[in-house]
Amino acid sequence: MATIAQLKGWDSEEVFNVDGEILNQFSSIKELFGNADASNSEPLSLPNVSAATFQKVIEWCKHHKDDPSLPPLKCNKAISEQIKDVSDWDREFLHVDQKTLCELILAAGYLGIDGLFRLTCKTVADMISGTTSDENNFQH
Amino acid sequence: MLYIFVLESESSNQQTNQSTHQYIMEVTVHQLPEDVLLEIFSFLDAISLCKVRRVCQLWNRLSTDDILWKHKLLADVHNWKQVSNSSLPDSYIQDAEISKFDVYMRSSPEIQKWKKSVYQQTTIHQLSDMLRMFMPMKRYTFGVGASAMDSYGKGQSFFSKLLSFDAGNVFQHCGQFPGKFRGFGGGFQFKYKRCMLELCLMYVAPKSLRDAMTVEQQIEMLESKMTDGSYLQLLQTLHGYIHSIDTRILDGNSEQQTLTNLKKQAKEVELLNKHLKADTPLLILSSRKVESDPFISSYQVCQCLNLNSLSRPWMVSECSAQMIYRDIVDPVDWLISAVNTSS
Repeated sequence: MATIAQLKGWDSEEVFNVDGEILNQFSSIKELFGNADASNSEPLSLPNVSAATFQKVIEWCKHHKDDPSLPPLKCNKAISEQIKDVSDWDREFLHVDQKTLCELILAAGYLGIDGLFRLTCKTVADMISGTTSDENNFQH
Repeated sequence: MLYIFVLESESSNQQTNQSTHQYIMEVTVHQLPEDVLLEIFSFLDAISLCKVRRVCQLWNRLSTDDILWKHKLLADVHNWKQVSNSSLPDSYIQDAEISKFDVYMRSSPEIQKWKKSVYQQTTIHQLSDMLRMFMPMKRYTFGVGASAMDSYGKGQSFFSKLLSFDAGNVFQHCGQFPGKFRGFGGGFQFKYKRCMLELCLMYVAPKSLRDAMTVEQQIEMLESKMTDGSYLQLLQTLHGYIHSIDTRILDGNSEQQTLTNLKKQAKEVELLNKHLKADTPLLILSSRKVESDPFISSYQVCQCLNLNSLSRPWMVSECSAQMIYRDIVDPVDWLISAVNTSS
């Protein structure tokens, strides 16, 4: 598929060629680019995303490009019921240190990738509930 | 625990990323913006949320956020096994003074249980347990026609299941008194956690009539009484008796609770409300056969029966016939404390 956008992280000159399928998942910035081939234009720098993080974001988007779009969360149902189990691939993908995970959350939020955003938030939530399960942590 | 975890990952960051930008080096869960933290918190269950309050002031403020808890209430209320007069969120939610967090804390049976487990070891708790030994015997009663329901074949009423002797049972069978109450009912005596309970069954007709009928006829009689309204008269005949009891347990058949059943029960609740003593607690067991069956949630039951309008203590509890010994403990505990406070 043709390159539609050229993007780079704020911390390096490495340019990422992004095709339409992936760009479509970036709901907050996809409007910036037309459908024309943009391989010759100046690469756009993403102010909040580092190159290493962006690499991971693209990896995730490639794997999930065929996912159906997410239904909006219903407020009268428990969130845990609405989010399906995390797939093995995702679990492996998110097996990273806390810094990378937080950067992924920020990047997913900034780029508007709902699926990745929910997934990473859920992962952090699982880490929190796992690490504070000590009864003594509750203060009366 | 969490704090240690954060520190560790910070130090590992510093080792590996010496050259990168200072801002990025410090990204931990604590540097995330508030809206992201709220999103993360929305994935936590109520008890975890209570625990993260201790982490820091910001987390304390965010984890008691009104909108967060409003969504939690809406989502969780249908999963609660027990709903009682003191834990019905509707009665607090109108009050703007009470935050949604507090509403949840007061209403959720899980939170109540969790708090209780933290407090359980106190001396006052042990003392009140001791005092129960000296309480006079209370009389607990359940449904008209329970005997007929027993023989329904498909399922048994909950308490008759309890009555069947079982060594692992939390209820200790102590004796029985058949034919008490002018032929309309008999009962059993039970020991439960140092309390003596007297469980009475009420029958669809006096013994003389009952003996002449087959089981099918009894069921028919019960059903016709329920539909033509004379069922309500039957309750009126027992008026004096009903007035003397300490509590009333409405138990569904261990078959599936249905909306049609609920309508019948709503009538019964209305009538009972007239005849019972003003502060007699009412326990409603909402039934299903197996735990995995679809069911009407306790919250829905209490709305269908319009229990919020009652001035007496009440509780709706979910029960599955399969797990009766586990599910019956919480409602009976509630009943005993409700009876003891009202008398």
